[in-house]
Amino acid sequence: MIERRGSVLLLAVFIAISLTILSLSYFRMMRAVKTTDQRLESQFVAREIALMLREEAMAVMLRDSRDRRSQFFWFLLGAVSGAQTEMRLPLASEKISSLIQSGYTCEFTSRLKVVNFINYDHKNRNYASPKEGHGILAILIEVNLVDERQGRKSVIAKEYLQTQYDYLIASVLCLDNQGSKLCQPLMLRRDGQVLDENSRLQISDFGSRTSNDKLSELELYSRSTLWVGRNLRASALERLRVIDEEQKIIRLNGIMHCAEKLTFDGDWKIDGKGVIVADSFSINGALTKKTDNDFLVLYARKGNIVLNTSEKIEAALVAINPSYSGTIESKQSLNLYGMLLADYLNLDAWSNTPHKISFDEVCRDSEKSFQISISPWANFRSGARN
Amino acid sequence: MIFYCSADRFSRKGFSLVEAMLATMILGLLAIYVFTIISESNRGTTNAYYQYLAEQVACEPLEVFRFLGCNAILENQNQGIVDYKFNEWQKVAAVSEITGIERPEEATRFERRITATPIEKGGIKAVMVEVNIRSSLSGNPLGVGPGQQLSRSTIIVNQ
Repeated sequence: MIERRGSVLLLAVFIAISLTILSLSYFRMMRAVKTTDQRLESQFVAREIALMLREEAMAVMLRDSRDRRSQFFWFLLGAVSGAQTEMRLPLASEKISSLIQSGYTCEFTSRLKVVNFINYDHKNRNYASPKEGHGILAILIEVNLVDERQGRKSVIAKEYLQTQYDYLIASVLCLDNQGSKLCQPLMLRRDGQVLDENSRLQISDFGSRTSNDKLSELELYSRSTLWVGRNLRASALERLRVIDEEQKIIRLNGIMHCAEKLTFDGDWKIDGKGVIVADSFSINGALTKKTDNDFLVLYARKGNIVLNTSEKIEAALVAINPSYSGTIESKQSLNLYGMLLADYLNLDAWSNTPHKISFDEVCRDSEKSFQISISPWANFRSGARN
Repeated sequence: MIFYCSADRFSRKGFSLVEAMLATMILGLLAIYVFTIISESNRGTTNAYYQYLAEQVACEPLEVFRFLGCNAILENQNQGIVDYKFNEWQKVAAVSEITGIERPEEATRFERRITATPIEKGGIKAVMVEVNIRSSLSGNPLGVGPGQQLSRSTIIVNQ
């Protein structure tokens, strides 16, 4: 009888242990499911925060790359491969808490790294300035979501995001070893042309640099690897808002090439520093700078520049080509504040009125001529850019 | 061959009725327990599926809006962007008539509300987008049950 009771007791104990183990397993499984849900949600939040940080970092980069007073501008201008800097993201610092639940906090770092920078082109020819060149930038974002509900900190989700972008640095003044090549108010490539004080063209402020040495061999913006955009249509420039027809603003940042004739009707404002290279230009209204530091070069590479306005033109006008046939014509009284460079000028074709060229000192300020352009993507061809 | 079995031997071998009933009861308990686990597991799987679906329905406009950018959202806050309306509960369709985005049939059990709030700091503009999801059916054991809401939000910065 004792033996039978023993066996029943043993069986009951065995069953009880099995049930306990099963219950514990089930309990643990359910807890794991709940924890997985929470982790997935936390991971989602960490990911969204990382994406937001990347967007703000990109916005800050685009803004500061045009601002010579910014720390970011000077960091990039002198940066070598591997250089890194911390980025301050004020919007994220203030608003990130609205994305996370109470009891949680978010720790993040955002760094900018120069992955590489090359100051020579695909034919191994160095650029005029060691500051000019192209490379790849990386934004490095690290996000830790921290649970502080139980008094101690524990990281519940981590997100690491690295995004790379192409960038290039180019001078809008086309430098040589003496500085800016656009150093005089009037430069003509074809030999033997003299414009004296009896000419209808009044020119002020000739500088000290004698630019006529080998002027006939002068080439401008020949390193197309430093151009931000190439072979664009006029409609593409409008789409990119470089030429904003609605607001009549020309937004510039670096060298843009358009494979068409460009016409500017009406009065335009110039915002930023840059060069527009096109086949030819027709200007029928004012072109004025928003600030003193803004600067526009209009370079006709195949045809001429025709001005049909007496309004002020604040730009450098360049019309030169390999066949030395580039010229500039003014159908009304010219009022140019900038400089003028052409293969030749035929003043007989100009209107029979006084014409004035005042030199803009920005044309000589090579130190302030560097523009940084950041692409929204990377093609990893910086070393073989052609 | 002849087997001899004495009454005493019967009394020592085999199980009594009590033992058999006890064993049946334990087996029954075990069976109930196993069935409960299977049933709970099934319910858990269904819940997880609906939870996942709700997540997808919530994340979809966030992905679309991130691609469109901050300005597009702010400019279209009043009229909505394609079939995403702002500040109102909308039933989720299996196929979007305008965008052609396809969703599982079960997604029609959800309703979605999108809100957008402009924010700015240090000259940088952004918009905070919040998507709330709720079940449109009552008494359904969805991942997002009646009365419950799933909320996902993000901040889209102007480039």
